[in-house]
Amino acid sequence: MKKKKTIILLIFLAMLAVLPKLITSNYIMQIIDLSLVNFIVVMGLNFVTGFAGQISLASTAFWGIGAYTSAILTTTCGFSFWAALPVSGIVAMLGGILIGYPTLKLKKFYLGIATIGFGEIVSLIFLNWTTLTKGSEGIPGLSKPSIGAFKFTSNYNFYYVILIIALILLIASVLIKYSRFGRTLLAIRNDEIATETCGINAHSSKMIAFSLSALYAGIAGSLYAHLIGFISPDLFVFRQSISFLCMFMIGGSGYIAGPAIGSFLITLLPEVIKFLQNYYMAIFGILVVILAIAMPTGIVGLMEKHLPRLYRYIEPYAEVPEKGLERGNEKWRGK
Amino acid sequence: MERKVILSIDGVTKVFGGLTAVNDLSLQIHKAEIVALIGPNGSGKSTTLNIISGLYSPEKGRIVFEDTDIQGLPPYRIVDSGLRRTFQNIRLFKDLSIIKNVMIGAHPCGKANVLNSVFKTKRIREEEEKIETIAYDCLKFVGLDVDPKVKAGSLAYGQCRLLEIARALASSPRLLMLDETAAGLNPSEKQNMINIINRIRDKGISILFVEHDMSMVMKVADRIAVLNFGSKIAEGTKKEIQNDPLVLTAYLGDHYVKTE
Repeated sequence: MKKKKTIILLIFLAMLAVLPKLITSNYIMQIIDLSLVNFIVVMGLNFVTGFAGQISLASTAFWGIGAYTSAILTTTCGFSFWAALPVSGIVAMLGGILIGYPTLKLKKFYLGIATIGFGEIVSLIFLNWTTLTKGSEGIPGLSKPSIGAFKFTSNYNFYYVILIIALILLIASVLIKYSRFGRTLLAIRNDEIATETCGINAHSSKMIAFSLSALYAGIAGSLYAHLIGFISPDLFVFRQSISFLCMFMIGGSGYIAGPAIGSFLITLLPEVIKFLQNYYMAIFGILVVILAIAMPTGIVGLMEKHLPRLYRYIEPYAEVPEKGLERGNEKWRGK
Repeated sequence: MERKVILSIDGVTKVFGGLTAVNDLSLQIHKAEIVALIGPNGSGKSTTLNIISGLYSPEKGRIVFEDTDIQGLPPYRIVDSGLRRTFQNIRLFKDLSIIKNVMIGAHPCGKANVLNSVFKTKRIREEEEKIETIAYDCLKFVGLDVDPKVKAGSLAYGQCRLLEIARALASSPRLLMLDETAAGLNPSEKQNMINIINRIRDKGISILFVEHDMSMVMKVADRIAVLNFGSKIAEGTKKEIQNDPLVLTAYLGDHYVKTE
């Protein structure tokens, strides 16, 4: 079983590595790069909403903070992309701590509303702090990263940069989910009061989850800025947070593979149905609604229920009950 | 010989809006003693447990647990000091497996922080093994003999009660508070619960429990405290409580109590 899993993993990685060779259109390649960027944001969202069960609609704000930090650092401060990338993650994370500390005391929808408010504030700052962000003109001409003489100028090259970073963050998210800290977050999602009475400081755990999600979004923001080469405030609006939430829910909340499936599906789906011309956005909306109704637990959630064998491959550390509930029931009754 | 006082509640008052839910309550629990808290519905029993465990903060009064003032501490700090509880409406981590539920209960025993728990240093791996052993021991102790990898959400009602007790025992508390732990159990499960409570006491753990089932109270309690409208109206041994006119009035109405 373990050997089989390793082989499948290697095949999958090989497929990811050769993917750009199979894509002929530069445009489609860019869409694939974008879905990887979205994947990173949604992975971050998975910490706070998936594991810890807190509604956050601030992912766009952190994504934007990351993008602007990276853009400003590389254009006016002369940072290289490689230096700006971690810095933008950290700046977004600091923003997460700043906003998470007071708002995470709120529960459920109240937290959602507070995070919407934060998103609006951030997008207004992007628009109006013109000396720093150049306001509605946006920041154009963002440089592509390079290693020595090699420049990752095309969407084909840049794919590998994003892929490697996404894989590193994916491994981190697997490690986190199956650690004691991850277990704590899952407990908070189930019952916060019970977690507190187990001697766990739920607020500080939620804070860490929230700042991790901001870190992921910040890194994704930096990648986005340098992938497209231009950012402007109209990208970082509330609608985008709903998109991320949509990818997250359709993939499957709280699962490792959920963000990957959701972000690729929702980013690529409009391209697949573009032949519908003027109607495609309407059809896209209807498809998303159907997906949400048919699969309230997301695609991976559905898999767990109906395709447990496949599920075990994409969630390799999930616990699988070996025996039923009935084992030895009469034994403790007889005591 | 006087036993050591483990928990001492002194003049605790809790007001909700205009309603005094708990009024000037004082109560002491000794080491390895089983104290039952009884009273009609709405008399403030669960509120008392919520105050002790830090979920509510009282308007007045002092709560001292093993010489430390725990009043005003957040719930997770109170658990650190060795006090655990279960809930009337069972609160389990339904998406997590049985063994993980109990392991979370044992988390305060470990010293992992976020970083070393994620990167699984050697010390953390050893600690995890220790916590897992503790968790298995607790499951064995309450007699929950089902596959530990099954999700807690799929357990039957009576098994949920046992799991909640196992989770509470995992951090080896000195005082365990049980909130209507036998509610909804069938007679054989109830008898099992009585055995468990006695065995917990035999480990030297004090128990404060809220219960409606009088036969169970009479079987296990060393001492009984009776609440009515938030005030303690009686406290004493089973015999004393059974013959207390105030208690009889509270439960049956003065109509049925002989005035003689």
